[in-house]
Amino acid sequence: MNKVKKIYPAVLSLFGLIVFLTCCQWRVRSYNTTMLALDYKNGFTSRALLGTIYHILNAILPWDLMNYNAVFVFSIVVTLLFLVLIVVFAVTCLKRSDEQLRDVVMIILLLFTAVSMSTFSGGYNFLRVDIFMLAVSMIGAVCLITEKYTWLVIPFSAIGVMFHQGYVFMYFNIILVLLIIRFIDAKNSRDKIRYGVYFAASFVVGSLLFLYFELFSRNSGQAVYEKVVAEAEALSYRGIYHTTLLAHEVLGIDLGDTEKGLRLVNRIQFPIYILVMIPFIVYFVILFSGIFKEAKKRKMGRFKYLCVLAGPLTMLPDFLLKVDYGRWIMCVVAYYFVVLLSLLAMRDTVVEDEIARVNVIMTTHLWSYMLLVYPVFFLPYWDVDISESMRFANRWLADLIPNLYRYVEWW
Amino acid sequence: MEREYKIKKEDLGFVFAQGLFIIYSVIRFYDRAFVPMRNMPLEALKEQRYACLGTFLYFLILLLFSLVSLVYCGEEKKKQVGFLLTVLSVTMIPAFLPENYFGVIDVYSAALGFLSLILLHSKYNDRLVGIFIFLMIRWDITAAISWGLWLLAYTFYLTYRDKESISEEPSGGKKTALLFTVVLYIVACVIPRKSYSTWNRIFEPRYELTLTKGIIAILLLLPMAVLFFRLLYNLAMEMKRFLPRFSYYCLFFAALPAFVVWFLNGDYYRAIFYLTSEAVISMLVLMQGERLRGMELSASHKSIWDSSRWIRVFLLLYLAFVMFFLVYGQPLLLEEQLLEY
Repeated sequence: MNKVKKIYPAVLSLFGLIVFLTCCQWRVRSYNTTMLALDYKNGFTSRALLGTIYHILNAILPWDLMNYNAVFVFSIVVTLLFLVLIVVFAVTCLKRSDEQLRDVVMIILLLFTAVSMSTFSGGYNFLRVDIFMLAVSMIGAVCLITEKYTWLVIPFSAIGVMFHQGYVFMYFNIILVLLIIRFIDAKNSRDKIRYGVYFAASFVVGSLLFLYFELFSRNSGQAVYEKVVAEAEALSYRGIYHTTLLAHEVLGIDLGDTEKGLRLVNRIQFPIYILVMIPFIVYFVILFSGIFKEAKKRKMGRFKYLCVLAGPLTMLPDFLLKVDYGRWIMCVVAYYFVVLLSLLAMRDTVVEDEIARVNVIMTTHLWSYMLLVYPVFFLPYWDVDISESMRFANRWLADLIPNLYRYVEWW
Repeated sequence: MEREYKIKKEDLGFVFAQGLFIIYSVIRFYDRAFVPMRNMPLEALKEQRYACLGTFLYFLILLLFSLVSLVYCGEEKKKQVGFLLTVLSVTMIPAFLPENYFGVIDVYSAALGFLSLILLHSKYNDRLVGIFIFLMIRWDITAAISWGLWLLAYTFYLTYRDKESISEEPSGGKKTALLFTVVLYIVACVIPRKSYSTWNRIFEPRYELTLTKGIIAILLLLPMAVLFFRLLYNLAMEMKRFLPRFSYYCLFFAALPAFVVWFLNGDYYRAIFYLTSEAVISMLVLMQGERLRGMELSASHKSIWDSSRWIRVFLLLYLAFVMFFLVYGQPLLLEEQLLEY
């Protein structure tokens, strides 16, 4: 077993690197480069943390980073650092999980690496701020799993929202649900109070920052607009920056109407995606129905696992109001991976038993290996288009059914 | 003792899952674009609808091949064969769906190749394989260095592989069938061809993959190639006599000509496709062999099947990412500011 513990991190790193090399399209999209032009020098505005970090790096490092080539190198470094974080998370989970389930945990980690590395290496999400938000939640998860420096979840909540106020819907649920689990499982009142306070503080900090960024932060943008545009042009590929982002973040112009046509894409692709995911949804239902059945026997068991199951409901506003369904699906998938792995690392016996049971069901079938390859067809996740496959499927349907968009618009 | 060969529910379940794999591959890789080849044996095959039909038949035959492989492999090897069929699906199902390779002549040769492997389980296998090789090469001359050559090597392996008793010579019938196959192979190659496929217009490379990507893909697949060659070497070294040992080497060498020739012609996609698919099929047919129990992974003879499941999953995902993203195509990055809808 010790030999496996030594080689697995190396194998996982190699695998992550292969996924990066095969999925990377070697271009940083204008949306992601323009984000770097936002800076706290121009006011405590939303989505400006990443740009501020970049400007600080530009100030302290001996190279000029305010050009596209530097952004490109920065993107590669960030993505590889994220891979390191995945390996750290993997080692944390492996060290603490049950020996009998090591094989299953390793396979789940391989799949998580495939999903996250491909998404954040692919064209749309290369250097997207989502990678930082997920990283913040994963670091928080590691603290909660190991029960070391758990107080850090409070500043992490703030940092996540400062990267993008959408964090409260997207990846904040990971930290909140793990805090609820720690609170319920706490054996003494001191720990209960501690986790209760952390939950409340994180929730309040995250919510207050969200409200501030959403309602009050976009003032006096006109004064700095020209300067921000000039920086965005310098940082972007061929000087093409994302006009909508700056109009929204700096000038505070609401451009929700421009997304109307894109909602039609969501309405076509999302049902198709659910259809092709049916094999996994079936196993998901088997897993959670088993968990709830076992949870009946424990104190507050059902409530605890209901929180685990319902965690992604925080994504509902995004699914209803915004159009980046590829990113939202990534959030849901990443949530379940991180939370279930964390539960296994925390030696949650109900989840252990049920995952072992589902594993036995799967491995008895000849096609279990085939099932593990299916997700690769739908990776990487994009933004408006869920993935390349869904884009193709969308075009097929649109050509097959005349006036398809009119029917969907009615809906 | 005679085995009983019955189609079981789990075999059908696997084939159904493979059918789903095909559907997912079509969604992912087929963008309804079609670039017909200049040289086709029939003019009709230059039309997209017949290309669709040809590809559909190829998938059907591949599914049938999987079913037959599972039925004939025996209960003790079913999981291993299932794994190898999954690897085969990864290398061979998406290959003929991207625009530049949809409806190419290779898909028909591959279909004929699978048909002949299916028929190898029948009583008349020896002679039928020769006829299939002849048809394949007459249809597509490049099959002489790919599927036709591999089938010839496989027939040689079947004739000379070690039997229960190592002193047993291959029966006269088997040797005659091999001779028949070799003669048909040579005749198919040398008979003058129609103008659609003369020797100086044999290769019609498609430049889907750049040299850089091709080399990166080959380097990434190198560890798997090393595993494969090591397996064949270990199996060959178990043989005490020259001919059985040489029959393993034939399976190894049969995969190389297609790789080298297509590589030199600049079609790295085909080079990688033929190398990977012939290697996988070789492992599959070896696994199904009567006397073999598993694949040798290293000099210590630790079988890949004794190792943890996560290693097999890792190998599968590794192969899937290299083939799906590097070889068979990467998603296109849409131009900035361009809204399609």
